[in-house]
Amino acid sequence: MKKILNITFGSFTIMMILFTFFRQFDLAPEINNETVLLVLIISTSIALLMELSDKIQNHYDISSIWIDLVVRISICYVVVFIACASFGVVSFSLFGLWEITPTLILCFPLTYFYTVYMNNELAESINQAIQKRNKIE
Amino acid sequence: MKLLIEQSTDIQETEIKIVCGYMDDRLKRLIEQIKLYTFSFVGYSDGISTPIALENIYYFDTVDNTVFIYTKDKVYSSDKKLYELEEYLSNSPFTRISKSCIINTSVVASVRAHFNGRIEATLTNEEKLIVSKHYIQEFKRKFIF
Repeated sequence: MKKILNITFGSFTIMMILFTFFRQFDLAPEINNETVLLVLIISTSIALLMELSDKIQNHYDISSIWIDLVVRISICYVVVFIACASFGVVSFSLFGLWEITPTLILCFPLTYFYTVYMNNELAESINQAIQKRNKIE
Repeated sequence: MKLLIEQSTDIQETEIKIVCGYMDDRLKRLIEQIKLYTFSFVGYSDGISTPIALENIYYFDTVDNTVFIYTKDKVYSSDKKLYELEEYLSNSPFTRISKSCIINTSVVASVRAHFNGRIEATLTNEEKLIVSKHYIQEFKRKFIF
C-alpha cells in the first residue's frame, strides 16, 4: 500500500510540475478541477497496474529488464490514452495515441529515474549496514 | 541482560534457553546468530549425505522442483521443499529473495541497484543473486532494523 501511494503521489507531483511548466508556454491545457482529477486517475491507475505487473512477474519468476520496461511503457500508454480520450483531451484514434507521446516521453524517464534513485538509496543504506556489520565482526 | 553459562560433564546435549519479557531487535539478532551457528541441514551429493552447518550455506535454490544447497564452492541436493525451509529458517539470517531462492544474508558482501527496481546481491564467494522487487523490503529488514 505504501509503495502504491509513493508511486501515485510521486508521479502526480511530477505530472503537475510538467503541466504547470508547459502551461507557461501554452503547450498544455489549462489546469482546472478536471485536469487535476485526470492526473490523479492516471497516477493511481499506473501505480496499481505497475504493482499488479510486479506481482505477475514475481509469480512467473520473470527477471528480464526488457520485459519489465516494455510492460511499464505499455501500462503508461494504455492508461494515459484511455484516461485522456475519456476526458476528451485527445481523440480516440491513432492520432490521439500520437498526441500523448511527447508527454509520455517526458514523464516516463522522470518517474523511472525516481524509482531508480529510490532503489539506489536503498542499496546504499544496505551497503552501509554491511560495512558496519563487517567492522563489528 | 544476564548471561548464564552452566558447564557440567553430566550434560549430554548443549541447550540454549532465552528468558525474556520483550523481544527487541537486538535480541532477535542474537537469536538469528544462535540459529546460524547451531543448526545444520543434510545435503546429498553423489549419493552421500553430508551434514552442512547453517553458517556454511550461502543459499538454497530450486531447479525443476528440487532444492539445491549452495555452499562456498559446493552444491548439494536437499529432500526438503523451499516452503519448509522458509518456515524452518524463520528468525535466522536467511530470507527469501525470489520465488525459487532463499539467501543467507550474513554472506552478502555488497548490493547494487538494478534499473528494473531489483537488487543484485554479491556474495562473499563473488556469486551474484537477484533480489525480486516483491522480496526487497524483507531483504532490507535483515540489514536495517
